[in-house]
Amino acid sequence: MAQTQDINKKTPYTESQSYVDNLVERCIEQAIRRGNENRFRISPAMKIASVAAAAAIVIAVAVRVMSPAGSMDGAGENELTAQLMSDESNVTYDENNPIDMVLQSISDEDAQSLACISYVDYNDPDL
Amino acid sequence: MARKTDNGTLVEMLKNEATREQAFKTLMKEYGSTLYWHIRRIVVSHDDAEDALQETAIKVYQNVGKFKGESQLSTWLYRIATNEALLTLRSHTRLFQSIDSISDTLTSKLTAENDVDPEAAEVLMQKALLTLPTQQRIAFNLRYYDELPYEEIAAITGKSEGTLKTNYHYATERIKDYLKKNSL
Repeated sequence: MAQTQDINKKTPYTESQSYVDNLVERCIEQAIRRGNENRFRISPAMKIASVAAAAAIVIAVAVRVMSPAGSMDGAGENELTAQLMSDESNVTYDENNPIDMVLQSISDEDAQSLACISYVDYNDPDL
Repeated sequence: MARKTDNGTLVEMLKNEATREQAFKTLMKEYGSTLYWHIRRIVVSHDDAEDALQETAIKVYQNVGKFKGESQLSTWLYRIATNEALLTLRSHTRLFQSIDSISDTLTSKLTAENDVDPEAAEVLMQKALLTLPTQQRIAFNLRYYDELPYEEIAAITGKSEGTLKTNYHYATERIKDYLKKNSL
């Protein structure tokens, strides 16, 4: 490589050769430091793989928590149903009781609509 | 082209992990200054030249183990330095803007950063060079300032020797015209 700062090919740049030599030294040190740091760094591929694995775990847990079979509400609902079923088995029908007679004769839909109509909000201040 | 260190020995030391660091220091001490001035003539700004040289050193150290020896070590270094200089120029351009269109900016930096007479011959020479397309300017610098053979310039720039010779001829004509018009 030829000398670049030839007298006949002078450039207007004013940096001294000693300045440039010091700059080169700094560049050498920095390059070696960066090179040695990179040896102990986790590779980008491993970073991506670990992030993907973590995301998969989070998604799996979220699906499990939010699905009806696994949800708290679902567990509560099953418990309530079981309770209602056991309650229902304790209910006795009195054929002489007029209320029981009416309830026995009407359909489920009619019973439901009756329940809505007869519901009274005792907290209603207009009552 | 005389080299202080035998190239073959240096390459072997660079490939060997045990001796790589010492070999890298030797390499950069031998070529570092030359690479700085090569970069500086492309990017003009001192700060940009510092950054580009730093990146060059980092890339050289990181990739020196992969150097296949198909080209000269100096050619390989020049190629990395040239790429880093071009990346630095590109960082100053807007999206879709060519690096050839920022010659006015580079000319301003030339006079702003250096405490020299703007009409001095060396300043006018650099201004004339900045009127050339970047790739042509790089090729001219390598031939005129670094006195590299066309074969090596072709390996650095990826252009054919014929193209380089033609471009060098046109570049010198253009520079002469510029210097004549600007009173030299």
